[in-house]
Amino acid sequence: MSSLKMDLRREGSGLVLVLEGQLDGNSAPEFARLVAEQIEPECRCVVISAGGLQFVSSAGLRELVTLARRLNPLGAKAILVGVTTTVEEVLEVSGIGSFYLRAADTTQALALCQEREAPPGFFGRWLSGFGKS
Amino acid sequence: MTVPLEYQTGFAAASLVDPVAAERYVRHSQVGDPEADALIGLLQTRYPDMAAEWIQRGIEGGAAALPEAPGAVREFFSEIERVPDWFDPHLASSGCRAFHRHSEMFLGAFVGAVLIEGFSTLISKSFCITGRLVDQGVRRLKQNNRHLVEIFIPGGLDRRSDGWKLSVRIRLIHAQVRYLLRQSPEWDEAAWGVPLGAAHIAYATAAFSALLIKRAEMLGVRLSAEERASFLMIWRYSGHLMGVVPELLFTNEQEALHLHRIGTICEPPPGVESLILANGLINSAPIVAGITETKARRELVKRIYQVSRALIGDEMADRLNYPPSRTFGVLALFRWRNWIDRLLQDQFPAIAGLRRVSQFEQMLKVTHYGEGGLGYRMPAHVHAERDQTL
Repeated sequence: MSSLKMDLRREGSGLVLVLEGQLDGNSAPEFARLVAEQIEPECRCVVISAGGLQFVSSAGLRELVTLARRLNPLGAKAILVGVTTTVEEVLEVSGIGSFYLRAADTTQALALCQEREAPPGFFGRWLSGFGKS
Repeated sequence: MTVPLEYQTGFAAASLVDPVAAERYVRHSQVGDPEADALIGLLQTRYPDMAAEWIQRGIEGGAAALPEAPGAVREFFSEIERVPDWFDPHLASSGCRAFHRHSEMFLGAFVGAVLIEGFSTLISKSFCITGRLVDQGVRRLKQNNRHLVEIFIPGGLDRRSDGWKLSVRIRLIHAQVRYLLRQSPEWDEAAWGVPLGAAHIAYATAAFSALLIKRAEMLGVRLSAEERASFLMIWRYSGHLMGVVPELLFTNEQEALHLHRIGTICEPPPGVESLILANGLINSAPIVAGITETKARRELVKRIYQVSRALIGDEMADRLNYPPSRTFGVLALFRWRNWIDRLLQDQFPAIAGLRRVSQFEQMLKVTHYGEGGLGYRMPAHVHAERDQTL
């Protein structure tokens, strides 16, 4: 009984995922399966077009965190596009919004994907080396 | 009014404090949930094969999703969609924000105090007989947490959202368990009243709202008047969806605390079932949090006992057979830590953001998420071990 319509396409080394409906307890497992199947080691970014997303429950937030955490070691970016006010509030209240970059539209998001990370400064190098032997 | 045997002493004592509220509470210990009970009775006696499917379709899609169901079934699902005029979704935002700002403390107060205090009533008999909290304690605690988290997600109590669906699901599971227990020879209605009666559901709602704020405040949580009112309204609406009768559904914080106080006096002292549930809950909390290493688990259990004792008081802790521990300074330490935390977050918004994320991720870890989405299977037997995991 899915409450979410998902449309996925590849754009170069990125994935664009268009969501419509609710990312909730019913649809989150399906979302998780789809994302798990599609993310490959060479993936550089996942763009979630969320203009049609009406609601995200805690089950949905859990999958958004899992996705961002999965992309992080690949050095890939997680980008949200067109987030509605309602969903923005959920992301803000939970703090999960900070896991995602934002873009005005899919074109801008894909351009963001191409941008290389600036080389880390002193503190960046120090932080990334922190905890390593 | 006939007073169930186990309530007679408490009822006499509560009547000295507030005879009207005491009479109302004990009268509702003998009432279930007339609408939900009628629905479950109808489904179980005439449409047992369709019960689970209709419940799922009704909760997910309302009466429109049940074209072939009898009128009574459709009416139930149509009626529960009626939003009471006192619920304003626009006012829910500040309560949600307050909950997530302090979710670690709210969850701590919920598990370490409010659930324990709830289990000290006769409701523990229902849970103990069915075994649903004893045999599947970790899973049940995570399901409780899930409900709490979902109703405090902004928009979580909208008709199509998980908080709304889970609240109604709880109502129907209670009705189903009530249906099974009332047919069981193990249940003594003359002594204990109706299983999972209206009084207990109202008592739990009052505890999960106003008492939860009170206990969280003992840990140093501070809420504005607007946040308190919003927090209470969210629980009031969830209580309404869970079938709390209007006569017992609080309209403000004082009413909720008064209902809790009168209910506590009416209830008999904690019995062996309360001891089993309370101690089982504390001992399973580290497992819920993912701590399985023996030494670390024991240390955490010891700590939870200490904090719980400080929150519920020595008298209740001793009645529940808690191990002795010193509570001097325990709550003060929490308050001090939260005061420092608040100060840092006010000065450095980035720290507030990081705290929110880490608290939310922690909450996700102690919450139940089924692989197959929201489940709607109803218990088919009184005893949990005869049902597959629900």
